[in-house]
Amino acid sequence: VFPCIFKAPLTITGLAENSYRGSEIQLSEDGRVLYATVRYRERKSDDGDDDRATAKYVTRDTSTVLSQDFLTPVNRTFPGAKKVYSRQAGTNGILTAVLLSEGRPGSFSGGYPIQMLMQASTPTSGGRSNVVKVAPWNNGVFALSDSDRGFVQIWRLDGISGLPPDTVHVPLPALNINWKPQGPPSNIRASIVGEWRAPTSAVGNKAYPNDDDLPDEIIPSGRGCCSNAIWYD
Amino acid sequence: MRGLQALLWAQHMLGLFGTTEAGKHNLFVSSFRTRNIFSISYDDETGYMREERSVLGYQGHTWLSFNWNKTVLYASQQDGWSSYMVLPPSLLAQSASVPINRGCQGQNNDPGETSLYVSRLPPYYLYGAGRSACSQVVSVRPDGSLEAVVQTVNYRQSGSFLFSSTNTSRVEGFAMSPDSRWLYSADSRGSGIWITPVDTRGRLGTPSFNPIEMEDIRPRRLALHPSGRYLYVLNRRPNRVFTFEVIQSSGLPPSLRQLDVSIALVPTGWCFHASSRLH
Repeated sequence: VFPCIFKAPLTITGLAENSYRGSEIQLSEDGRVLYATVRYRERKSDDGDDDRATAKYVTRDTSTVLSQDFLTPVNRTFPGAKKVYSRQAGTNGILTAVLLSEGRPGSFSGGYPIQMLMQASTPTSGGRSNVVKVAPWNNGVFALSDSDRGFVQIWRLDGISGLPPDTVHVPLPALNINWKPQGPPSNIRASIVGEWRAPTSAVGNKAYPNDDDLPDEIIPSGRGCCSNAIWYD
Repeated sequence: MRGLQALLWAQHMLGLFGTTEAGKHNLFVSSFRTRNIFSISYDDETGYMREERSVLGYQGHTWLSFNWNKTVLYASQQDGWSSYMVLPPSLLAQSASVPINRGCQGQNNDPGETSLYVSRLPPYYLYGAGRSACSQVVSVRPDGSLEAVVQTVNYRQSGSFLFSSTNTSRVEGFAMSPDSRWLYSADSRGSGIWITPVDTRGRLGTPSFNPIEMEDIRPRRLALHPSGRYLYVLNRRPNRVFTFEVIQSSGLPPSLRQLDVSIALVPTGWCFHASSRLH
């Protein structure tokens, strides 16, 4: 009954689907993990304020998170999280990682979505970016570029290699990952392990949200660094 | 130019200053409006990140992509595409900037931001689009530098010629089959996927359209699994990734069959999903 996709006014976490717009998608080079992001979309003032809710589950693992930003799971805490914070959600983008079936090498069967690995809010709306690029050397390490504040973060998802190699024993209905509850596997663990901030001169100016009639030397909000970060090695 | 090529070749062969420290990785970072392209490093052991270099590009860039062996960096920008030679691991040299062909379906477009996809097989051409109903093929020189727009392909749904507005299609994202024989294009206005044959010279043939029979979904980005079996479609509106099975048939364009799996990118409550089917 598909209207559910489009009409869900409120979700279990109070996030209104309408406040987000599908942004980017990327596969790891080994084809095992699919990453996708949405950006937060500014709501018009007449939308009402009902759909802005507080996310209760905000975690920060002080032992591994080197960044100043909180890692913010949207609908659940991560296993092993040491602290729980409360923080308003709704202006952040969302990042999703999904495990894909492996298939045998050379065969034609890999790539079926099996299981949600992670669903976490990004530190900002993403600006006009919020692009994930997976490291060529590890399917759980990826760069997240942001043009809201102008940074590149490195995220790390540990535990993927310990997951079952394939789907043969997964009963078919469970393959539909819209079926809840089906949380991330308990041995998956996400952390932000690095952050680089672009120099202020290359970052969009928050005081100028609009494009219109600005002199060339002013970079409007979201229109500077960082649009895209790709791994050379 | 010949001297630069020789230098690049020597670097790639000998790794002159291309040696990287253990645990240290290099990235290139673009900016939408400013001309900076930053080269930053990330140390996997310490988490330390720093700016190695900053070069000025032709323009601000919306998107970056390497060629197959990472000797060339391609970038999309307002009104066109650029190429840079990679001097490993962290330096770039400008090589070429190619403007988009503004003509599309007999009209002159304001192309806006472009998208791009680089083929991983000879002749390693670049496929791109502005915000219009046309894809463009950009040829590359032997060293990977962009050369010129050599072909423009119209995307228009059959039957819509009476209303031959360029607004009927807008190509925003690409994927390519592992054998580089088929180019997939997400059409956010036409609400579907175009599949276009690619010949051995890198030229595009006649596109065929695969509609997605749902309202207001705006397909935006594509990813094709390395196996070639599954196509993932990121939609702008419903915040869902749809999964399609790619069904090969020799000589004919692959057909797409939508699977029941759709990935919710905004956490939602309990939801039974019934998908539409493509044939």
